[in-house]
Amino acid sequence: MIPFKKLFTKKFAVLALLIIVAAGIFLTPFAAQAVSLPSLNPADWLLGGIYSLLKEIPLTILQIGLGFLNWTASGDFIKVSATGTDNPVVTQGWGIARDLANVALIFGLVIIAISIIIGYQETRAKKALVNFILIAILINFTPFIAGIVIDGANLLMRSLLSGGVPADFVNAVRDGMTNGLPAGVEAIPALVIFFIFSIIAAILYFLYGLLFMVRYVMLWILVIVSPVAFATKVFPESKYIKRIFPSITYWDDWWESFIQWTVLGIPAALSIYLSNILMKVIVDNPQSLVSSFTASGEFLSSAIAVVIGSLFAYAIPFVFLFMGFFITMDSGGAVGKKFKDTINKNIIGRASTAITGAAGAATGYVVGRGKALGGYAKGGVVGTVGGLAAQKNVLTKQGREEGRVAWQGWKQRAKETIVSAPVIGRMTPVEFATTQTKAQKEAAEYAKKNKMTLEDYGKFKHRLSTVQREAYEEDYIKNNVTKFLNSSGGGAEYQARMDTVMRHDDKSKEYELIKTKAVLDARYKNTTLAGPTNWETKSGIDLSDKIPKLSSKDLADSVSSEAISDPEFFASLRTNQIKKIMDEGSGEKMDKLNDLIRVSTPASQNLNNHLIGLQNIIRNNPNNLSPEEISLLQKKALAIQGNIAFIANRTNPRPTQRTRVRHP
Amino acid sequence: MEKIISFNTRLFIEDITTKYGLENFLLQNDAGFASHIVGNPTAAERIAAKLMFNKDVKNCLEKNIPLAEILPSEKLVVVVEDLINQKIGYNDLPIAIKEELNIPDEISSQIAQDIANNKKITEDRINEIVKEDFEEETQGSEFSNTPSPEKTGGLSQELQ
Repeated sequence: MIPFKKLFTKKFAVLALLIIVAAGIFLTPFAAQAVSLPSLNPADWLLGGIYSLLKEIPLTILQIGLGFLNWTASGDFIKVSATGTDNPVVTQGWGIARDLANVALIFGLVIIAISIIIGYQETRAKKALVNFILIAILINFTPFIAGIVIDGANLLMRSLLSGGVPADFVNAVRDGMTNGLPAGVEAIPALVIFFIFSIIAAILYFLYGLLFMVRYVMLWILVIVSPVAFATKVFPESKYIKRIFPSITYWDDWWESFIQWTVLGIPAALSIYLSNILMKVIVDNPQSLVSSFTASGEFLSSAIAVVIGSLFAYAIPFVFLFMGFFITMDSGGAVGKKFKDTINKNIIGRASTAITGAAGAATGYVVGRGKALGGYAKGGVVGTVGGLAAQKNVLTKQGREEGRVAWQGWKQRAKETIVSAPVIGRMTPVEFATTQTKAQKEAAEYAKKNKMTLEDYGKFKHRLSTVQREAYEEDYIKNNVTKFLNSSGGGAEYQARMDTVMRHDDKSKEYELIKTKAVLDARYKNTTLAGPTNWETKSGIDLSDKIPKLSSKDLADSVSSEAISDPEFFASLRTNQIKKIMDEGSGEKMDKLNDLIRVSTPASQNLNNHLIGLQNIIRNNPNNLSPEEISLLQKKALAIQGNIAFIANRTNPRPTQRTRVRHP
Repeated sequence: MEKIISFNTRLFIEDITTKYGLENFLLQNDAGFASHIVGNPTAAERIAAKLMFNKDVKNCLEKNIPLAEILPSEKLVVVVEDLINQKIGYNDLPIAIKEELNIPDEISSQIAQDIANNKKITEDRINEIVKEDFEEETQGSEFSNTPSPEKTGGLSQELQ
């Protein structure tokens, strides 16, 4: 299949323009509505063409869609029954399947007979013999058995679908487009709305129609293979049997599929039925269901607002239909899922691209080309809008990239808000906030397959999509967040990476550790690069609380030598953490620890002053602190003194041998 | 390699120093330092206060002079380290303490007795290495991504 990108060449553009102009000349010309004689102005032809295409195409498609649905939903759609002898496909197919089933049963009978003769699992074999006899009888009546179930479901469906889907909506659209809209350029936005609305409605009609059509065909197939499926009941459950009778030819799968395909039409019919009631209410008196649409203003005439308002009223039954369709698919189990996946992939995905591409051609370059060119412009638009909202310079590539990243962050936060919302949250699975989208999964897979060092990533990241970059960065963060942060080129990049670290938070305990390390880095190691942002506040990480909880190894790995000199940080360390730093830390870290007990060093003086300050507050409480606050300060003072004593004990120079006592 | 005393033993020695008033002279000679030793400070606080606020100690630290030159507690540390490294025996303790600290026989005997009664020192004397007796590593490590070692079964389990 030719990708849309390749199709959208200059030749294609010229051809499309010619079609539009031709439509402007030969179809109901826009110009003709404005003046009595056909205009000679090519601009009028172009506008007339757009006008005609926007009007004629959706109406035609909509009518075809409605017709298709009414055709498949009516009882006359298939003139033959699903199980009767009037259906040549089922009759002949079922005959062949029954013969095959009989052959299988003969094999089964031989196996049972041998088992009984040689006494191998005789009891089981005798039980199987009873089953065998029953099945041998039943396979001759499978159309009858299946017919009862199918007829029951069809009866219910037909009672709900009697009268089909009324053409109220199509009429409303036609009236609105033909009579409701004023002539002129101002009608084009309204036409675009009609266009999109009509196409979506048509797709929905087609989907329902397709569902009913596929249901019939699938039921035929299931009835045809039913003797074989029944015959498999004789055989014991075995993976070999399942290989011989795959998919719906095996009883379990057949039964599940049969029930699902049979009842699948009922919720669909119910959705259509309820939607019809809503449409009827709107036709009778729209005000009884929805209030008037009042969006008129400088750029929207009241006439157009009225037309669009009536159209929007029809959105309610359509949302009903739309949701009903997906509920139907979900209630259809594996069958529905398969159908839904196929539709999502092949119909909705492609149709939405086509719709937005076509709508974009009329409404503007950015939207249309954005969708049509495989999301390239969408990325640009997202980047620009996101960048503007995040107050970035959207004229630069970097600014737009930051905008795209900000957009990802907002999306994630929105998901989290939904999950934590009081009512909607209960209806939403908790995985909603953390479940990866398809694009994210693909990007993660790509990053996994094409590993890159951080250095290479820095060089080649501009070749990757935003989602791929996010996937790579998530990988680096989870592997070694400190390394990821420290390989950034400058302040802006460092802060962007800190933002990335915060954005990928999956609320796990492991990620809390990652965030703690990152905040430690920003607070004590790369203070300048980290900028004015208070990363502790932004991340929700309270370092004084988290540092003591870090394992000694994690702390020794992530702590910088600069951090050691910070009295607050020092006060939050445990002695075994200090021990680890002393045992495994760098020489620089060791020097910093020594500095704390060497009185002439600024670090030591700073720590002394801090301790004196703490003691002063504890003793005099000049600021009238609460007992809890005083207790906290006492703990800090104690921790500092305990840690100092510990360092001194391990680093204090030992006296020379001469001072030691020697006894034989 | 010589063993050095554990941090807890160091605290124990600091408590002995306080109990027998071995370092009272520091308080008498340095009013500034005394102002930091108010109430009933813990052993760790006393050690830290000495290091941070006592001018003689600070002088030693400045010049990198061993603290055992001036501090009785550090002299006791040297004696206990000799003990755990089995350079001296328990019977030698009273004499060693007396010689190091220059104190009466009676006090040195009592200090020796206190040291002999300390189980941790006895363990450190017997063991090859001095085990640090800190709070459990896992106690504070509420969140850690350090993978725990895989549990391996015994030979019989593996054969199964």
